[in-house]
Amino acid sequence: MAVRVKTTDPIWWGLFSAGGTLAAFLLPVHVIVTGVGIAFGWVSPQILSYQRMTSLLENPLLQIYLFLLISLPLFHWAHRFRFVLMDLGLRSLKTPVAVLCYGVAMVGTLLAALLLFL
Amino acid sequence: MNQQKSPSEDLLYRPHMSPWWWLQQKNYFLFMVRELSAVFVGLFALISLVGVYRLSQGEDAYQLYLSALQTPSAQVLFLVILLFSIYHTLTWIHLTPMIMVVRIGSKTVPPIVVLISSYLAWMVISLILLYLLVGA
Repeated sequence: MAVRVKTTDPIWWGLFSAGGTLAAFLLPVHVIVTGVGIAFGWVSPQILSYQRMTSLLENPLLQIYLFLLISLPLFHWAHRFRFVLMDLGLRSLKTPVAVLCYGVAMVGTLLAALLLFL
Repeated sequence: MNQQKSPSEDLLYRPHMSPWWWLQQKNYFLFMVRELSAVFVGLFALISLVGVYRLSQGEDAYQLYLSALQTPSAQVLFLVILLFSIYHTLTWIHLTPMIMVVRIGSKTVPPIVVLISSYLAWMVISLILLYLLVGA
């Protein structure tokens, strides 16, 4: 029997899951080094200097890496935040909440793609 | 398969719940903290996106961004992001063995092995990334 899936949920769940895994394994170090480290002066801001970043981002692999590092966590946020909002009582606004959350992630992804790949 | 027509969402019974239900029990609270960790994970992605945008605007604009990363408010913000980010990692790693059943041949890998492997992978990846970020 053919089962036709009439929902886009697997796509969003897949992106949520990919973003969650990427964030789980990569984000703490990024936050420690380029976030906390630079903010408190433990790490030289030179590692994020204009010259270094522009030359690093000439490498297509690093473009893709940074793109995924921005895009996938946004979709992770979108999916979880959508359900947080519904759990906090916005269940009647199911569709607008979903459009808003995934929309923000899609706009962020588009911007990241334009900025990094063009 | 059950082919019954599903009732309209509006007709489903839904008990009234206070928006603050998650403050009523420790487990509910931890669940909400876990879900809200995504806000800070997303925030870090957003800050990175702003960085890429400022980079595209040229050296002066990017320098302002770098200066903003070194203010006292950035210190507080990144500490909070770090706490939630680590909480996200811990909860994610602990959920993995429940969701993913790993099989090698016909044998199922015990969940505890999946859990320990995940921790090891996190550490190895973190050390390599640390080296690449500050060492190379």
